[in-house]
Amino acid sequence: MRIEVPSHFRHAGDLSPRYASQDPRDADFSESRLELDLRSCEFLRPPAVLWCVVYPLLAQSRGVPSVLLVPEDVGVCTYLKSVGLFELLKEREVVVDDRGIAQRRDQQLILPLTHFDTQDAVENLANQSLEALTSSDLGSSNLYPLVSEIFAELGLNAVEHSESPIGGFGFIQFYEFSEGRRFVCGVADGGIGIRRSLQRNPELAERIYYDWSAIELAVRERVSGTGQQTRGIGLYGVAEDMRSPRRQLIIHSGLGSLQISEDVESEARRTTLFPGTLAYASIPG
Amino acid sequence: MAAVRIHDILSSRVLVTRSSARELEQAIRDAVHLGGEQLEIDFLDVDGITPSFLDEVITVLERVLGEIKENQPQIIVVNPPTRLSAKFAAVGRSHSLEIVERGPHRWELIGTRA
Repeated sequence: MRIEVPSHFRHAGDLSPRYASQDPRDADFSESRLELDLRSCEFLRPPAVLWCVVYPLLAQSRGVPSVLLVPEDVGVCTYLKSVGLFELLKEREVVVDDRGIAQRRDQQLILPLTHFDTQDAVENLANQSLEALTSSDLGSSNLYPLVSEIFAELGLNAVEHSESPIGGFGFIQFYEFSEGRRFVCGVADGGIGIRRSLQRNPELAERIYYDWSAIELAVRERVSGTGQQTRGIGLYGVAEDMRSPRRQLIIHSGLGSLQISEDVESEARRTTLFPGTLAYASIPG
Repeated sequence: MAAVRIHDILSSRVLVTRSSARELEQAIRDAVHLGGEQLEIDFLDVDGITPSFLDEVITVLERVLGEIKENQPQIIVVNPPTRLSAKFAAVGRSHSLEIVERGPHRWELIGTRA
């Protein structure tokens, strides 16, 4: 199976559902080989990078040999290498032919793509990120604790609720976009998704039919798969933190996606599969 | 007045996990048993906390305060790492507590007094 990504690849919703909707979490995912074809890609947003981690690693976990065909555009290739994508995949036996691409040290990369699978690891990474932010002198220093907290809360959710066979992955970066400077923080897992996690709560099990409605529910106060009175504040808290000017939160879980910003909480929509859950926070810096 | 200096026990600048919060239990118990009108939970030198961490600190406080029948102290959070935001107020509500900001460096937990 080959999945070709578009030239401007922002997130999994840009992919053709014809192939990308095949779920590598399913026990009957039985392709003989997976090729993620990025050769024509000229531009990637961070949520797309996280998809490029999760999809092939899930396929590998099903015993499907996977190959990432790197972009022909050297600039995009260099970015993906510097963010840590190629190394992370190669360490897990995904074939990546990145010959001739130099490792560039990116001063604006606070936390490269990093794997985690325990709560302690998340706490360590949050502290490591705060140290890196403090010494970077990038953007507004009063935002550093917030960025670290957001990463930590999203990472905790992945570890606690996702049951991801490949663990969780996250990164933090400072960007200078055309529309201004931003801290961006992304976390993704290849787990059961928000809908199945919430359905563990007997009070919710019969009320959630779709991934998109599950995401809408998950950002409300005290909605949790555990059913415990004091749980279900983490994702609600992240969503509340993002309801400020020019901040943005995108959650993509299974076939649903929701965007939250200061004055927009669009209805979650149906989109192409993300095999697990991805959360992406963007904060003007 | 008794006080628990969080950073003296947990040296991290960002406190994330419930297990980290549970490491405070003995220090909180010792402080509560010292007696006094107020118990200060002091976050000096802590830069960030998650709702999960605060939730577990309150759970520990409830457990320890449950061990004493009378003269329960008023709980004050001093030097909180952030302003009182919606997420931390929600943590309080989940414990039937109101968290009230008394100035930039002081939160009061109302409802902990027996």
